[in-house]
Amino acid sequence: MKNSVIDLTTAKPIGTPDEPARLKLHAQGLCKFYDGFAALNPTDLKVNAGELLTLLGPSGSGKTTMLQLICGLVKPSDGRLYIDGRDHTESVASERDVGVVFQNYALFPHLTVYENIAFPLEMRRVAKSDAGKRIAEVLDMVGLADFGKRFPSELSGGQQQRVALARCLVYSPSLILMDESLSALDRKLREAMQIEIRRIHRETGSTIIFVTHDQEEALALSDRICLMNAGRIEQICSPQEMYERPVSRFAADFIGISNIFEGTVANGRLETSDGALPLPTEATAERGYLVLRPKHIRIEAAEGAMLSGRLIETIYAGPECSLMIRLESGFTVTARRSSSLPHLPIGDMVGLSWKPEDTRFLDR
Amino acid sequence: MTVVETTSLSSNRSGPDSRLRQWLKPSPFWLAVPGLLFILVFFLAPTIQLMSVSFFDKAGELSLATYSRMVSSTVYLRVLSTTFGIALQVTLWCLLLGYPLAYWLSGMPGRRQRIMLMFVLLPFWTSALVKNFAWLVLLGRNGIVAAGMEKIGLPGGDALLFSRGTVIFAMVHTMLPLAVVTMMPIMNQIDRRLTMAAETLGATGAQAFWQIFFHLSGRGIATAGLLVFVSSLGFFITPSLVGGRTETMISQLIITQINTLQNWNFGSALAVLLVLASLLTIFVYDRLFGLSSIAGEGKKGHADGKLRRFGLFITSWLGRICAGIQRFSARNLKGITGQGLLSTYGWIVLIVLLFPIIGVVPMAFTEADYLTFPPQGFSLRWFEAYLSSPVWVSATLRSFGIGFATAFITVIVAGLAALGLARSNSRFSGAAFLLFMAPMVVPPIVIAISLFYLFASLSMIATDSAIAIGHSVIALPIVFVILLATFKEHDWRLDQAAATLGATRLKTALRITAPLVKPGLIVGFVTGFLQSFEELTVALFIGGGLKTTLPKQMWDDITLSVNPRIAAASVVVLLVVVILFCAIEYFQRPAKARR
Repeated sequence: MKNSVIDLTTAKPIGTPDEPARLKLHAQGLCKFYDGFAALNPTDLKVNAGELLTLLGPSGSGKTTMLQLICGLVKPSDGRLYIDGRDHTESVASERDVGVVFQNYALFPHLTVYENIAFPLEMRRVAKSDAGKRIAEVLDMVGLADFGKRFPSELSGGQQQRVALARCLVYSPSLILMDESLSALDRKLREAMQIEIRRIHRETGSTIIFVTHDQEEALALSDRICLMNAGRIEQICSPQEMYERPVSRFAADFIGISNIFEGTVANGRLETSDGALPLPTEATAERGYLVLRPKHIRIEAAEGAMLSGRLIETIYAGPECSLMIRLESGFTVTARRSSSLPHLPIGDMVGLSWKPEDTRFLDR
Repeated sequence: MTVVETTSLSSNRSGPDSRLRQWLKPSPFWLAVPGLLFILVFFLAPTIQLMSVSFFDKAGELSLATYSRMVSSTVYLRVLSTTFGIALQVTLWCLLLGYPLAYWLSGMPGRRQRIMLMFVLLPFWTSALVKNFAWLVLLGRNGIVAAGMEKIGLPGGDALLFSRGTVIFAMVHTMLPLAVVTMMPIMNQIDRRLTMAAETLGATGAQAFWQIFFHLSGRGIATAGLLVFVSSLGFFITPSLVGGRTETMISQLIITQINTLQNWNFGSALAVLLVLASLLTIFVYDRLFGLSSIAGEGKKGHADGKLRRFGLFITSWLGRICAGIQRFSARNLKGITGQGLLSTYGWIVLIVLLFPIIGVVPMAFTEADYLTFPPQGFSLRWFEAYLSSPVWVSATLRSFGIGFATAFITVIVAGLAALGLARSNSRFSGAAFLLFMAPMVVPPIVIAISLFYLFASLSMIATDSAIAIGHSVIALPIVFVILLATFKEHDWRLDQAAATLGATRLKTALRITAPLVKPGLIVGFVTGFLQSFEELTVALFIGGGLKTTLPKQMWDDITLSVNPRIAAASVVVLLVVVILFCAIEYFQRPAKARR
């Protein structure tokens, strides 16, 4: 029943009591060096079957290297890679039963949409009649039923994206890798495709690893986010936890908007260039960062507030406004405020206050 | 269709006067007019005139007597079939040998690829005379190859020259670089991630190569095949120098008919055959692949096209067969990687390509009175002989002069035309493009004789300017292609940006356009110069035996008295080519690296 992606009734729910969550992918000390440069430092990663995991990070953080190692396009310098418990470290891409949706879609320009989608079935020697049925189904699923005879160059970006997705889904790989697959689409289409991917993920029960540099996309899509930085995993957890409990300055800065104060710990407070700020908990480190999300800041009168500064810009964004406040040290704080509150004139001195327990202290 | 309708509508409304004005209104297309006139006067009209000679008898009456005589003689039919046979074999070998080489080169990073390409192009731009004369020495009875074969006990080392095999080998050697430089850019354009994608979709390496990469490079193979075949039809230097009596090709026959027998009717009829053969080839190519694919615009294949279906079928089977071989070799021949084999192959072909031109260098420094390889002793006496001979020195200087004149004429004429065609969307663009490419299709021997005819009537035979014009006609297509690509690649929005920033048209041209297209112009100039510098045919006819260029002098020397002075001259030719190549490499580098 491996090939029944589109047949919803056979998709098993993941992690039922009698069948605990299986490990789909397990990387042990996987790493890749190019001429001494570490594209990926030794990394351990476990992905459960049926999970949608995003590899999130800036360019050069090692996420694409990780993806290429998983699908077998790049040989690891060291470490082992298990898929479904089998050692796949040495096997070539075509032996891995992995589906990849490439960033540029990688549709074959000399083949029609139909032939592109037929390609993986042809490689697997699927009988013509069976193949035809499955291709018709996936084409229908991505809403391109009438486009089989077109060439990729005759399609729009969004349509090409959907063909790439269909070509990947048609052979029901149990592990799907998506490399920045939505980055070339405009915002509306991207959001529509995100919903599509979530739906397909839910309906097929396949494991999806999604590479992106867009934190909003990662927050919207994932069961778990694997945040990468400088060739190693920075933090791996659920989107909510990533947003609320970042483990490092990098994570706090990369996910959402943060105001980050740097300083030294003294007497239970953080000494910064803007004064001593209260810490949420007892800190053991000598130096560290205090992270303050804009939504936790209260704007009030300058007198008696925890910090004060000059309002330099307000940015209207529908129900909320972003306020930029420049402190005396020159540091600019971003705060958020309901748009229904009275307008504050630019240039005024304002005060900032927050509950210390809403902040987060990070020692790295 | 709508365009035509609207123009006719508007002209109906405002009368024939405005239609004329619309025709004459300034359009970039007008820049192509000088070039079109040049082609018309110095190529199209003389060629047609020459070919028309064959349709008249001695009395000036229209007649096909020449052709009926030709068909009735087996000699001519044999020469025709020899010509086609040789051209076909040369084409197949070039594609077969050239494809892996081009593939190897296209897998290299940019700068390394350009440098390796120089090694491929060096023998291409080195005069055919130098190479053929080197083969005469290297493959001769006492040559190094014969000696080597004797040492390892191979028979036949004493009969390497003057056979069909030698002619084909030497022609493949000459044409292989052309095949490689035609196929390589198309391979460069292929996104290598596509084969990666194929592998993730379950294709083995071999299947991904054949079904994706090979298929996508098909256009390059077809174009290379066309160019090699059409060029091979017109060869005469190689078969007459290293071939035997039975390897006579049609161009040699034309020369004999016109030069020796003064039989213009017959020579002209043969020229008609040669041109027809070229046109037929091109017609077939156009039917199959579409001519515009030479200019880089692929024919839009129909999803159900027979040719497309056939191609997919073939590559799919090749993929399956090679996947089987791959599995077999992976099991049984561990340690031999495809990449290793490929680069070994690449280096061997490169060495063979460079063998004759590197072999020439030591020959020039010999002490002996005759040519040998390896040379005896070391002396500069043959360079002295070369430099102290007024005939050789004046031929060299003339070649330089004519080369520069040719480069100037072609860059200006072709440059204006390329600019015009790149910037206009006139419906005549396609026809103009074909006209500028036409001299490439007509063998140089036909152009040379046509021009001889024309210049004889203008009493311009044996003038430097006549030779320069002849060389310009031959160099025009390739320079045009280079410049057209340059102007098409140029981002004209930059000029618009300059205009919005307040630059006048002249300032924009000088400060923005010129620096950006300069590398292309320089490559075009050098190409024009090299075309002229190694050209023999035109000099042979239009020089009239009085004004000799360097290749003509070498030709005379090879056919009359072979001595090491010609090796010394070859070294000079080589030096010029190498220096110009370095200049191209210097100017093609990104501006940052140059500083």
